[in-house]
This record gives sequence, C-alpha cells and structure tokens, in this order.
Amino acid sequence: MDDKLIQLKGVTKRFGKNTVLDSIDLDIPEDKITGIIGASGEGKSTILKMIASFYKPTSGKILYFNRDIFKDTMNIKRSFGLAIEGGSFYENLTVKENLVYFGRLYHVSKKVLFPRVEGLMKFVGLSRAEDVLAKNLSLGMKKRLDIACALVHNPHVLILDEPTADLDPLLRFQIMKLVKKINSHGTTIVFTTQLLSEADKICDKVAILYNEKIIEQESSSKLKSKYKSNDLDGVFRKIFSKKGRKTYQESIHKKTKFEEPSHEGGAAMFGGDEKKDSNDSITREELEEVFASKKNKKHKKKGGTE
Amino acid sequence: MVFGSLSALMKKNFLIFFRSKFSSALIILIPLFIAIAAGYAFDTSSLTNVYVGVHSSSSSNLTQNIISGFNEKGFLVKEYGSSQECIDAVKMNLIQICSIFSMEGSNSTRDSVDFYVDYSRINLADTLVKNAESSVHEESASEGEFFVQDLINIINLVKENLPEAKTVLTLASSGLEESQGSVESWIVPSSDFDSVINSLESARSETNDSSLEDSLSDAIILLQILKTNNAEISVNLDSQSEIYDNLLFALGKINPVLDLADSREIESAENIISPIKMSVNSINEGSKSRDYFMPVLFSLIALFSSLLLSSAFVLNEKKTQAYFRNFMTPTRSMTFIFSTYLTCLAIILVQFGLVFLGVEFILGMNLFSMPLEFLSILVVSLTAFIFIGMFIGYVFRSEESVIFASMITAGIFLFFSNTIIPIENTSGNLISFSFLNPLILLDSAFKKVLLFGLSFSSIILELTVLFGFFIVFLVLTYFVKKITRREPSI
Repeated sequence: MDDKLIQLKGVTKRFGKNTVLDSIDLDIPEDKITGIIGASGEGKSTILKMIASFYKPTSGKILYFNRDIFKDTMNIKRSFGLAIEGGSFYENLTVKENLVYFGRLYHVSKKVLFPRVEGLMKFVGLSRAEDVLAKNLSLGMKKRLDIACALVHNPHVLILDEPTADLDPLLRFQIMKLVKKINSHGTTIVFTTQLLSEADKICDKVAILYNEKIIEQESSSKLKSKYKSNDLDGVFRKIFSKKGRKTYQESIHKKTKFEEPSHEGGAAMFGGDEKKDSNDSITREELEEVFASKKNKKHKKKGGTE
Repeated sequence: MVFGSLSALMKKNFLIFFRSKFSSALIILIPLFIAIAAGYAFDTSSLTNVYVGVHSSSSSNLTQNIISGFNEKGFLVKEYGSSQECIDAVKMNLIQICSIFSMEGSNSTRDSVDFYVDYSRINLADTLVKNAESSVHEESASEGEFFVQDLINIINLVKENLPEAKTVLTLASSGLEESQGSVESWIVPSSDFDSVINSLESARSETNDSSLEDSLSDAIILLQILKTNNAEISVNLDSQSEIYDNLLFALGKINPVLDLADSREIESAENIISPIKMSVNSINEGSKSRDYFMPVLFSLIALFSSLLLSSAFVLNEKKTQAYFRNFMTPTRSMTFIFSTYLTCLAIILVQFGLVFLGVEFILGMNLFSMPLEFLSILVVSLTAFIFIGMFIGYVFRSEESVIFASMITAGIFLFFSNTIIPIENTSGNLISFSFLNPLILLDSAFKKVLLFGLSFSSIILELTVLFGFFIVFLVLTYFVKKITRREPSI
C-alpha cells in the first residue's frame, strides 16, 4: 500500500459557506481497488469530482504520480476513466456508436479503436447488443455500457461512482465481478458505495468518510482486526459507539437521509438499527448470493445475455 | 487529433439528428415548403382581392369615373350608405380602403375625395393610397384637361385670327395716313380765304358797277361756303388723325400678344395640367412580388433556422447524460463549439440547397447568377446567427427559456428591420444603429446580389459587420460555456 498513485493532501472543499470536505488526506494505491464508503451526501462524489479534475479544491492538493492534477488536466483526462451513477452516454446512439464516439474523443486511433471496441463489448457482455440504442438497454446493460465507455481509452485509473446503486442483487453481483475483472488487468479502481458488503468483498483499501473527514483508510482486513469485528458492519458500529450517541443524534438532525436508512444495509452501516446484529447482514448477503446464482442459472437456461 | 475529435462530434450530432427521421425531415423540408408556397402565392406584380369601400353623397361624372378607375385597376368596389359604415368596414377588415366622395356646396363643381386606411397595415396602406390617389389623379387630370383644352382652343382661334386683324388694321392705318396726307394738301388755310374775301369785299365797296358788285358778292358767298367746308374738312381730318393714332395704339398692343403667342408652342392641355410628366419606374423591370419577397424570405429562414437549431443543439448537449463524459475527454471547448457550429451550418445549408433547387426548378427563378457572392453572404450570415443561437443556448438552462430567448432575439431583429415596418419610420437614433441588426445586413446583401446583381465589392460592408458578429459571439460563447458548466449528477 505504499505505491501512492493518487494523493489527496489536506483537501478542503466548500460550496459557499457549506463545508463538504474538511482537510482530508487520502492515498489511492496503484493497481488496487479503493472503496470510499459513507452515507449519501457525505461528499463521496465530491471527492471523485475533484479527482476527475471537475472541481478544484478550496484548499489542499491532489497529486497524480506526485504531480498536481490541475496543472495537466488534459493528460489526467487521458489517464482517467469515469463511470457515474446515472450513466454518461448518448441514449440515441447504439452501444457500438457510443464506444466509437468516446474512443475518438480520447484520440484513440481508428486502427486500435475498432478491435478494442469489439473486445470491450465482449468483455462487458454487450456483444449481442452492439446495434441496440442505449435507451433500449436494460439497467444492468446500461451500467456495463457506462463502464465500457469509461474503459474505451484504456485508462490507468477507473473511477466508479456507486456502480451498483439501484441494481438488483444479480446485477450487483455481475458488476462487482466485472470490476474485479477490470482490476485484474492492471487498472487502478476508485469507487464509492454505501454497501459495506461490496466494499468488504472486493476492496483492497477502504476509506471511511464521516462528517466531512476521512476517519479511516486501511485494508478491510486491517480495519476488521483493528475494531475486532468480523465484517465492516461491525467496524462501523464500533466507530459510531466510539464517536458517541450524541454525534449520531447530531447526524440525524443534520442529514435527513439517516431518518430513512437504505434497505441495502445503510441503516446497519450507520448503526441506525441498534437491535440488528452483524448476523443479519451476513444472512442478507448470503441470501443475495443464493438469489444471484439461482437467477443466473435460470437465465442461462433461457439463453439470455444478462 | 482535433480533426478526429471534430469529425467524431459531428458524426455523433448527425446520427442523433437524423435518428429522429420525422423531425429531421420536418426541419429540413419546412423552409422548402414555405419558399415554394410563398413563390406561388406572390407570383404576381399587382394587388389582388383588395376591397375598396365607396361612399358618395352625390354622384358626379368625376366620382363615377374614379370608381370605374378602381374597377379597372382590379380593386373590388363595395358601396356603402354612409361614410361611418365605410370607415367601420375598414376597422372590421371587410375592406382595405374607404373612399368618401363629397361635393363642396350645392352649386360647386369641385368634388373632394377622402381616403381612410388602416395604417397598422402600413405597407398595404401606402400601396393602396398610392393606387387610389393615382386613380383620382387620372380622373381629375382628365377633367382639367377638358377645360384647359377649351381655353387653348380659344387662344388658338385668337392666335389664328389676330394676324389677319392686324393686317387689316395696318392697311387701314396706312390708307388713312395716305388719304390724310392728300386731303391735308388740299386744305387752304382759312386766313387765305379771309384775305381773298377781304380783298373782294374792298373791291366790291370800291366799284360802282352793280353787276360787278353782284358778281363779287356771289364770289364772296361762294368763298365763305368754301371756307366753311374747308374748316369742316380740317375738323374731319383731325378726327381721322385720332382714329389713325388709335389704330396705331391697337397695333402696338396686338404686336406683343402676337409675339408672345408665336414664342410659346401650346400643343396640348396635358402639358398645362402636368407640365412635368412624372413616372415611377421599378429598378427591376418586370419583377414580380416574389422577386422582392425571396431575399426577405431567405433572410428569415436563415435567422430562425440558425437561432433555433443552434440553441436547441447546445441545450441538448448541455442536458444530455453524456455531458460529463464529454467533459472528461481531452477535448477542448472550442472543438465542441465548432462541432456544433459546423453541424448546424451543414444542416441549414442542406435546407437552403433544397430551397434553392425548389425555387430554381419548381418556380423557375434564377438565383445562381452570382454564386460566389450568394454563398459568401449565406455562410457568413449563417455563421453569425448560429453563434448568436449557441450563445443563447449556453446562457439559458431550460428548454422553455432557450426557445423563448431565441424567439425574442429573432423578434427584435425582425421588428427593427424593414420586414414589418420600414426602418425609416423609426426614430433617428434607432436608424443609426440599424447596421447592428444582422437581419437588415443580410436582407440588404441578399437584395443587392439577388435583385440588383451587384458585385462582391458592394456587399463588403455587410459581410464585414456580419463577420464581426461571428467573432464577438464566438468569444462570448466560449466564455459562457466555461462559466455555465453544468454540474454532473454524481
């Protein structure tokens, strides 16, 4: 974890008087998967926007290979690929047209681009849908198209913003498998999620964002041993208990999202349901995997693409 | 690399534009339909279906002739019972012009005619008044000519007979002068008579001869009679001299009249009624309404197509899901701006290409006599309008506001141009800024080339100012694009 590819040093971001991130330090290692976890509205996306050079920090520095990213944005853009939550492609272009278009904008030569597009479509499982308009794709296919668009220029770093949000367990499982597969090809991955089980499973490093600060950044296993817990749910519960109930109550008043915790483990993540023990989430995870594998088998029998 | 990105962006723009086949066909074909419909509609050089309301308090030959004149000019005449009815009909748009004829007093022979027009339709109103006035003028002039011709006939008669009278008078005066001279030579002074009579009387008193005395007495009587006659002849001669002087005076008066009459050649009454013959000639002989209309139509197509298409393109690009990924690519803002510009330019040029083909082959109008000038105007003006539209597209966020702003901008250009109201009708300050209206510049350039066939040098000013618009709005668009960067929804 010493090979720091991207470094956020004392980064603060304010929008007017509202401080979203307060002097955070974060190191993103090369060729690894780093997960930024936190509740929605905590500033996870803001961190991604700043890494992608869309926002400039109010103070602090963001370094890529020890160089300020804002001093060479064009080069940064060539090295980074980004897939956002809602997807970012043209609904009225086909899968192939989208990939070719973004490849050309990344200055990939035609010779390299067309075989790469074919390969990418296979890689993300969209070969059969190459002539389908993006608007006609299913939600899971759209996610995969978005990730393929982010990979078309063969980036060094892939930034994924909540890649599994709004997906059913099967699709979540498939996307996570895909992320792991991309990483196995040597692409550094930074992604945000609210699902602790996801982060626990695939992240080499987990950064926990809470109250505008990164409060922990370690490997999942180190965090679990540090907090003496079997999973990240347990880690979070202990972090909350350390911070005290007062802090949590403040959070309730500060961020309404805590009043309606996510069904996907968000409540457990932030200790919203104190009665729930860690076994609950494990059971849910296991159920999801069973559901995913059963659905997958059924789908394969029907000869579907997803 | 820039060209690779530019071509990819343009290809994507075209793919998305033509993917909706119906709407793209509509956008491209509507101007063609408008041009052909307008071309057929205005395939004439006169006004048709214009209703002229007429109210006459009392009829005269003149009013009847004017009404006939309206009919001959193709106006449809409607008669009204009262002047108010006639004026109200103009307000209700049942007729386009109301003419009220009235007599000035019961025994006057002079008629008057008042026209009432709706000046909110200023172009039509002026044309109608001009036409109606010419009808009235023709009839009025015709009446005047009749009276003046009578006068001319009288003068010509005088002119014809006066020299004869002068000759007679001259002969009379010379005869009189001659006879006066000979008579004068015969006249003996009365003193001579008196001295002879006195001598005879003294001789008679001295003689004793009675017979001689009687003879002398007779001679004296005879001489006294002669003396009296001589005196009468003298008096008559004086009056003859007076007549002679009068004849000379009359001849003196007749001579300048004759000289004047001889010096002026009065051929016809028309020369007196209208000594200056006025005619208004078109600088485009034989042109139809559509020939004048086409440059305006082309300007409007260029204005509305460019503004609406480019602003819509920019807004779609701003609102697309792919906005953030576009931002994340190493593509410069200028490449995005020029891709939108080139796409819009290509689409509108296709629109115009179809319009020109339609106008050329369906309406039979020749527009390609000066292709270089025409194409220069078209490309420069479209460039200016497209960048104005793109600027609007980047400034506003919602579809409603972009469409509204585009329409308002087009409306301002349109309202302060010659299309609705002549720009000369506006205040002086506004006229001096009219060169800042790209629609006026485009209209003027199109007219110079399409109507008058003027060369490139005549449109340099228009092209320069339109090019200035392009530069200004290119810079503005660039900065507005940078400033109004949309936040991605991550």
